[in-house]
Amino acid sequence: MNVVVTGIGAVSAIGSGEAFFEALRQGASGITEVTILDPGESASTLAAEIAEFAVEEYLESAKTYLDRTSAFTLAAGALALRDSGYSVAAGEGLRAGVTMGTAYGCLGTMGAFWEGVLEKGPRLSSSLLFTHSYINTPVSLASIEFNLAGPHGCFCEGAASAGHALAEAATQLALGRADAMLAGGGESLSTYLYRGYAGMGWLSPGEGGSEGMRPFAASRNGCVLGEGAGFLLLEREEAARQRGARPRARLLGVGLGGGLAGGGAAAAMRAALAEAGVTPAEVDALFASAAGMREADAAEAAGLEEVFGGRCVPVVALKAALGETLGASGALAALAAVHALETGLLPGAPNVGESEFSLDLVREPRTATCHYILVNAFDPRGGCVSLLFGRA
Amino acid sequence: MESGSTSETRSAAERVAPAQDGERRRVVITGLGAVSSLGPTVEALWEGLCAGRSGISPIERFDASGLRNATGGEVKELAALRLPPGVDPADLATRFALAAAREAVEDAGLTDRAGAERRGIAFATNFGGASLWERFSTSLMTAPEEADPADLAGYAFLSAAALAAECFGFAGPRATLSLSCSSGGAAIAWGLDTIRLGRADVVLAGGYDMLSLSALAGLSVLRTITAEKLRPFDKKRSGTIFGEGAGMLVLEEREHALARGARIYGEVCGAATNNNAYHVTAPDKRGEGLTQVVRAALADAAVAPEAIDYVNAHATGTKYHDVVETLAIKENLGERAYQVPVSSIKAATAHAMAAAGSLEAIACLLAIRDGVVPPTLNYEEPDPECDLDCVPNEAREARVTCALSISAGIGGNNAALILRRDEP
Repeated sequence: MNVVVTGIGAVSAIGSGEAFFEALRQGASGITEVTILDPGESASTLAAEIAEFAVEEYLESAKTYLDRTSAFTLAAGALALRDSGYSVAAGEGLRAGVTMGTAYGCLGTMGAFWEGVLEKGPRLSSSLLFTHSYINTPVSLASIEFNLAGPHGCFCEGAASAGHALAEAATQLALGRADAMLAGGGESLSTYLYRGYAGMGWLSPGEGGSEGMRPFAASRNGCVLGEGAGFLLLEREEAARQRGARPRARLLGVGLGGGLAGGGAAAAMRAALAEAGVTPAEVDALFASAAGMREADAAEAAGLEEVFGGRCVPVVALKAALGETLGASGALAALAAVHALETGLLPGAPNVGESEFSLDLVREPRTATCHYILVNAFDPRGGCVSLLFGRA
Repeated sequence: MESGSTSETRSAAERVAPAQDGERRRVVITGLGAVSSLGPTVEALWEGLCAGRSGISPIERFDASGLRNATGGEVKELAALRLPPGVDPADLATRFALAAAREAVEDAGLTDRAGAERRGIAFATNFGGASLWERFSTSLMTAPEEADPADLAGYAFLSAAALAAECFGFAGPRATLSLSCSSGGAAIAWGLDTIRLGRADVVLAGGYDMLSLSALAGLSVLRTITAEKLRPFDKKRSGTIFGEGAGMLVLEEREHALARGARIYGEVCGAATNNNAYHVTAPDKRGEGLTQVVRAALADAAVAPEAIDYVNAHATGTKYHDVVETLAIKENLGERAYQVPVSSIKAATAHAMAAAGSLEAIACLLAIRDGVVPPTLNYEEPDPECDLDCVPNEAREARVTCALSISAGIGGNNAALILRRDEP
């Protein structure tokens, strides 16, 4: 569909900007004991947190207040734009838009606002906090910060959110409604998210065993939450060429599926392949959505079996290193896939243990020539999105 | 399914450049569902709108006495909500969504669960399962041991769409969007593109939200809420009043609808979303963003501005927005702006947040069906800056063939839809 990727920007627990890719080469893990929030009585104590972060390092102007998710979003957006050498002057961004995914948005700011309402009453609550608490605040701030006045979208479909944002951006470009789209996702850790997930039994160690993030492993017992943001600048190929930008990769196909438990995984992957006109045999690597959840990982593995049959395609489980970054995860996987198409680097899955499924799981970082990479962004309770990227 | 396999074998280029081969898949609406302060059904909504009734009343569900305005478009008949059999969600916003979705799916006659993987869902909400968020976060602040983690799960924005997919057997593409008060329009826009591109044949699309103290407290301190009446386009207007509910539409590929003999309300032939890229809460007083989103929707529909014969305005009754929207309509329709009815149903339903855009799309389709344009209520004093024909206070008979529906929201989000009488 003549959509190229011309810039990528990552903010994550293993590093941001260039450091992110260096950490992937080293096989680093971002998972540590959580320090930025109080896990309470939970049996879980791990997270892939970004302990030190200063948004000023990424932006040109100071901000009075930013929610954590908004800060990650603006930083990753700035990195992607810088990487692509793309900028828009105020008032000139009609042909450039922004879409993003986030599962929970600005939960930390929502909590702070609500605390104020409960303490001081509604009349004295903070308009500043409220303004920054909307789930679409991060994407709207990105639109304002980078003068992106074109097509706009915010997707809140759990771990599939950024997949949707990238799919939507590609759709808008393919339909000729924009020349450039900044697309990605962001998520931040908060006490609310952590305790809710722990209480639901969704965090490792869940029902028992040792705590850890082990996608596809026989011993998997829940996810470890992470945080961060990832953005990609997508452009119509012709528009990119006209401004002399270097395409880093192509987004060739979008696949949208229904529920992960109801066959959505295979449907999404097949649709992405069909739209790209690429066969399963041509796919050089798969970036999985697996996050160490018992049923969701099994459903994705079954989908892989259905689509790839007995073929052993290398499977990258990025969440083993980055944690489950929910709304950011699909974008971080997509930009790591773009990097893999350029450099051949398939990131490893640190500390993942014995796999339950017959997969060629990439455990240590490895190098392989890649022409086509399929990226999955699936949510255990929500929809499925697959994206097929190819070499520029 | 036949249409599915055909579209899947077409190349990506063919599918994304349909305008050139003249075979663009057209999308019609075959089912409607509504829960609003005017009542728990589409019939109640439309009957109330045409009768010039307002659903705005004192909020009874929680203590609203500390708010700038203790009234709202509250849904009172909670027991009358027809939820799908076998589901009983704890959150009220989710109940609105599912009740409206059931009405729409039954109205469309799509209860057969056939071709499930070609049927998708696009829901939109500003505040998700807001009642559960309040309960969960309050517990964590005051008595953590009592916090129920299922409340966070039920608050998650994807929850209602997940329940709907299960209830109605819609196993195709599924998305939840949130673009503040342009959400409802944006969900329909997403459904339109998804069907056009052959990614689904049917999409159940719409928005939902509920009144909650947390949202109203914030909207109050943002000074968007009036202390008196909601009066769109009136010189004395001083702010909006929020409401709740859900509007759901079944979007369907036209040939698919014709083949099964479905009743067609109209065609959704164009849509657009954008952002002012200006300021989080302040309106761009030149109206550039709204002007452009309407222009983009008209272009997407390949409809000339002269073809528009009804505009359902977002007009919330806030000082600046109504002026800016008036400018955007004039900018696009030129002199014709003065000749077409331009009404806002906000004073009747209240501003139903994410549900607003989809309830208003339903009003457009029923205006097309019945030849009646719903009025702008509480209109008394003309404002020279809002000088279009706002259909003051009483519904009017008028043939409507092509309607423009506009939505806008906090963060500078805009959406526009073009809805047209179905014609071959």
